Amino acid sequence: MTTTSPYVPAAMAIASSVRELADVFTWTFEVPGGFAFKPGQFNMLYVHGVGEVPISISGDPATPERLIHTIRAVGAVTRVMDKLGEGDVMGVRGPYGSAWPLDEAKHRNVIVIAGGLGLAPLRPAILGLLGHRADYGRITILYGARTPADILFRRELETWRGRFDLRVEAIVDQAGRDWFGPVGVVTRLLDGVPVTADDAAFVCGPEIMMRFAVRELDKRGVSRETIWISMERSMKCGIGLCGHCQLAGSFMCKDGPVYRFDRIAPYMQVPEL
Amino acid sequence: MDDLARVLVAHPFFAELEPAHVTFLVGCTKNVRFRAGDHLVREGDREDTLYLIRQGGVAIEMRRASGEVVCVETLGAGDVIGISLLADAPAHLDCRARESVVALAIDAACLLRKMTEEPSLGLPIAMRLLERTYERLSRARLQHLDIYR
Amino acid sequence: MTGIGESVVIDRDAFAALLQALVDDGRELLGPTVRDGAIVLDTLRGIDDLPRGIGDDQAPGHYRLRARGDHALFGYAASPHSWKRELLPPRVPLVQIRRRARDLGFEAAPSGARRVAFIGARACEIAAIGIQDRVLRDGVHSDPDYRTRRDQVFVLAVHCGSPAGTCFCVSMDTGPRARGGYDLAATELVEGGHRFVVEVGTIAGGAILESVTSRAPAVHDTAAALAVTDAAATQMGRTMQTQGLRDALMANLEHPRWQAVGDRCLGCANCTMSCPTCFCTSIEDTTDLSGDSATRTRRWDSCFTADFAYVHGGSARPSLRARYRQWLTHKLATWHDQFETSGCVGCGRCITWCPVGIDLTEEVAAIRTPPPEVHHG
Repeated sequence: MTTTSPYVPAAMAIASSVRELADVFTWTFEVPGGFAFKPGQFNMLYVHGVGEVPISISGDPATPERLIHTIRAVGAVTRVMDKLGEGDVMGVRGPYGSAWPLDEAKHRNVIVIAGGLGLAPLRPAILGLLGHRADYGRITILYGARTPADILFRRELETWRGRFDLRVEAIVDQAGRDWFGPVGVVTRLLDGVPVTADDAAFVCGPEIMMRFAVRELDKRGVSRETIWISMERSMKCGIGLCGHCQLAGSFMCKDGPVYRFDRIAPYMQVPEL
Repeated sequence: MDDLARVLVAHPFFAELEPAHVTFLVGCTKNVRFRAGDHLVREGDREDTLYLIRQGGVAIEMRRASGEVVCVETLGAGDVIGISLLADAPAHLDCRARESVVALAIDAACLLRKMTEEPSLGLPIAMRLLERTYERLSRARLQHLDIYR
Repeated sequence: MTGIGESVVIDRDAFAALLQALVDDGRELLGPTVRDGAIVLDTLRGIDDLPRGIGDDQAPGHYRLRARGDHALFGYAASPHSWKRELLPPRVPLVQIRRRARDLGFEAAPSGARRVAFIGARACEIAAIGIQDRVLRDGVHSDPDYRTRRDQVFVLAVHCGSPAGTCFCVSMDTGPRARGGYDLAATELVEGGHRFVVEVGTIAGGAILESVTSRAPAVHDTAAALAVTDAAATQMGRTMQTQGLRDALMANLEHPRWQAVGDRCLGCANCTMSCPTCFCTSIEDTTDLSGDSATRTRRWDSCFTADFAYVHGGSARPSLRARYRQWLTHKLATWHDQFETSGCVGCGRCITWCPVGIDLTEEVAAIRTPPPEVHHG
């Protein structure tokens, strides 16, 4: 429907809902005209009568007829979403926010560091890199999760791992005897891969993880001007009018969620800013 | 310099130390191999050996009452096991070879004696053990935080 | 017709007629009136609803009305209300949602905007409206309700003659004379005959003035009008050093003063409610009993509330120290980065209406002063 109010969503029916992990599920909407977006962007998803939340788009920008969101049931609205499925109608507003700068990473090696659900907002960027493979140098994906059962998109990670033109490593915080991969913090994986000072890095995960990942990249000489992170703050309107998502002078819904690290670093270093 | 000395000097733990100082330790050192499943250290052991891993993965594990074994970290080439030798306390954890492991085993008593005799060797080694311990502590804290929640 | 930039003089009866002309033009009059011991902004029926002979005493955490002993209609300063009650009302429905079986229909809620005339808007308030225009109307995304309401406002400004103890518009360069943003701007003169020198700001302003008896200003009228605002400019209750203020605040984010003011602050949000530029809102969802009909409503919110900056796991600003810092640094520093102006107009409402009397001019002066060195004995 056409409307001039930026608060009015478009109605979209869930075409399929897939369980990924115990509390994580992926919705696919079919959008005949295509829902164009850039990797890293998010939509405001509305659940009838319950509320609206910002959710990163986790699909392939090259196939915009399928709009995909991967969601964790962690709050009032997302827990209701967890009970919905195929045929249920949502409100969708977007896409909003800044994008992973695939252009700026061209001709560089790219290191993608993802933690937990952080792999979801990075997935469109990874697909974008792989879709133009020749434009990039070495591509390395480092993924960390709490336990092997918490590895998101495991089958896809294993498929990517099978390619000769890509390096994929996964690590967990703890495991039983049935895990034969490494155990430890995700940045341990940097010890085992080549990292050069000119590399570009895309990092997404909980804020603590991103902070120490950047510290480890710093130690290896990667410039903060070629490290990008994706941040999260409370959002109500998604369009820079309600004030909730501010971090210092930045509206995260417009200037973020993807930030070049040197630009956001001074604000991340001040507790409770 | 014989083969063992060369290997000792080349291990990342001794990076940037005087080779002559490092070879002082040759008398305390053996090259050892573990098969997959062998334990380098068991919980309760009074660690009498410092292992410098050359090859292969080692799992640091704890055993629950139920018998379930939880791996809390994996270490590999370049890492050090047995740091608590200086604290003279029994090992808290099991260290088990996940595959074939090749390591330099340095006898703890011999090492401590040589470190005392030769302070220009002793102090840097002590500092490095401290550094490794701190890094291990840092990582353990991050893992403890359950940050992916 | 009196042209833009030109002035006329009208007497008290003509002022009453001016208000009537606005009503006849289909406008609701909104302006100051006395209620519950305060001067609030509400619907006016005519000149008699204005606070005749009333003045105000304002100080940190203190507001009292008093009798002036004259017949001035605008002899007071800022009201606890500001025009944002009309332009950005406390509750506005945004979207109506109708569910039929599993299908959802979305429609923009109709705007409650009406043709209004702001009577007695002050220079600082006009500056505040201009600031909110940049935030809510002129950005990449624009709020349709704000835009619609804004288009339907006639501004009858009044140049200030009676600043209060908490005023500092001179420091913020927003007053006491309004510089544009009005259809008509009046200076009230009480001495030598109750009259108003009225400047025309727009063609619409000139048109309304047509139906009212007026005369050309004599030299003494013009001089008297200027004297009113010149005098007001010397009677500011407070000052704020704005030179280099943005950088000074951002360089002192860990100054001990933040903890001191955080300890006093109650987080009551009075300052944000009374502030004419604060614009933070939230969106609430309600449904009818059947659940088929839902509404998304925009309501005022405040960065002082505990869950304003909620991230999963808790608040990003759990302490009042952090929330006060957020408010002040946004208002006086990061607002510049976002909108290229200050967020503060110097109206003093936040000082007057703070129950514990926190004075941001005093806080700013303290934060600009280097903290004492900590000596380790």
